[in-house]
Amino acid sequence: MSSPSASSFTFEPLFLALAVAAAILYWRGARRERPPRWRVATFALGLLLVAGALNSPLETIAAHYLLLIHLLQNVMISDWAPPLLILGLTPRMRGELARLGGGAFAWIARPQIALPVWLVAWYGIHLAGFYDFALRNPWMLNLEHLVLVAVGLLFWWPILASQPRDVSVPVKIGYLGAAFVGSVFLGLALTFSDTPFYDFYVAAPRLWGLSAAKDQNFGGILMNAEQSAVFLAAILYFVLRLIPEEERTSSRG
Amino acid sequence: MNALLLAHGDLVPRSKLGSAWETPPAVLAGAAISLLLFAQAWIRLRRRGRTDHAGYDRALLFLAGVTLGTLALVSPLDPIGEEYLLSAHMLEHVLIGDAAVALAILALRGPLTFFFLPSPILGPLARIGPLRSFLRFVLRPKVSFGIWAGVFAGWHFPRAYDYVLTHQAVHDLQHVTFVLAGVLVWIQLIDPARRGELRRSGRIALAVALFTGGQILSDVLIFTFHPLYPAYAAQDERLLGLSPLADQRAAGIVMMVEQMITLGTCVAILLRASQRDLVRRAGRRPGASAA
Repeated sequence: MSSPSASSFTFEPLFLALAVAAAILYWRGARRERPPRWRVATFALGLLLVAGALNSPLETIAAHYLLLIHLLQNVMISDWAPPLLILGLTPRMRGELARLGGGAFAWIARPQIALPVWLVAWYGIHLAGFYDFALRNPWMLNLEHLVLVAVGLLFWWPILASQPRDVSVPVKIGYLGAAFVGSVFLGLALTFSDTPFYDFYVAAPRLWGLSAAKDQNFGGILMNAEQSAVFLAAILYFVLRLIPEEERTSSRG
Repeated sequence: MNALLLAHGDLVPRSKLGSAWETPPAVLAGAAISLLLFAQAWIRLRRRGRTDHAGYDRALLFLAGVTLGTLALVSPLDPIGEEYLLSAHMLEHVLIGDAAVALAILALRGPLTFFFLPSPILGPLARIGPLRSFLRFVLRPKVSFGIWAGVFAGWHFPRAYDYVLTHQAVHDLQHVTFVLAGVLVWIQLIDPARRGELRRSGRIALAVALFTGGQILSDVLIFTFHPLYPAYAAQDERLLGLSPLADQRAAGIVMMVEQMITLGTCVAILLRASQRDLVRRAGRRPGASAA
């Protein structure tokens, strides 16, 4: 079967449906308590990133041609969209979600659990065997993306939400630092290897003149650069929050 | 004949690298003087009964710092770094300009700092007004960081790096500036004299800034698709089978990992202290619980 044109649209309807469902739920919640516009816009942007990344030519290129674009999709749905979605929720909405999750959510959303879960999922999903299998089975690709969105939300929840527990700023900085250090090796492995890891992309038609190895190297660079920017920016934000907090506590001291 | 051979006289042949230990007088003298100064400070403080500030752990830390810095410059790492591998050269630089300095300053924190120079030396130095003004200036956190960033960025421009490799005196100057820049920023991070120039959060911010600065250089080295330093690319003998590009990427990783260890440890210690403070203060407030 020939590959579709790289500029054609490919859809993962599950994520369109989930985005619509999330938007309806948000709208219902927003009727009771009017969230500020910036929260609405942030939530909408988060939904757009998930739905857009998986229902556009990006999906076509990722599922048929280039690992680079597949990795771009992954960081969009796992690193960019989740913090936006959480920030888009009002504290009351987050509280309701946390209550809905009950004890199980409270347990898994602890930093010492959420971080290893995120790391295991992040590395596990990118293992060659799993990745190739997912690319050849659409339902598995859906599952892969669902897991990435879910672990992204789980990872960012203790940093951005104060329910079910409020994590202190020093712990948040340490958590982000540990995540940065823990996750950096996947991007480096992709950047350094001259041997393509994924058979699917070795057999895929070449696009933009990129060999399978170069495609993988660029994917690694993208992943590393993106994670450096996101994690270091988040760390810097919380360090800047720590400064006035420390001043407040020392003046009380 | 490649450029590196011109740089440092005789090229150490690959077969003799294992035994290529050197005895540069300036390095050995510097190490001996540092150890003597530390020893007299440590003994003086202990004689005053302040073993809490001059324990054996401090002596070990200082010895480890000086040994690490000296070994980097006298061991085969030096000729390997100067003549064969950029990654080995990077390792040498981060050891002398970061890890060794951090250990030494960590050992000196507290009263040992003030005892490090004997009174007959410290007194006259302290009375030199311009010197005090200069030190006050370079020990401003932003100035220290600026100097560190300038030193690290400046020396890593390919032209500067290649020039260093062909001029021994400039190479020595490069090493001295790495050590001094390292001393400036680690004084800010550890604050051995308890000057309080930066609060704990400020020190964390500085560590993050230093890591970000180092990360930029690491990323350039790791993610560039061609060798940036012609002198190393021209070396035909490839140690460990590393191509010039693989060697360059390894240099980037060496810097990244070393910073993760040193700055990461520093930040972890500072965050732990911040967390303890928060818990303690929360405990003082009636009915409050530390999150």
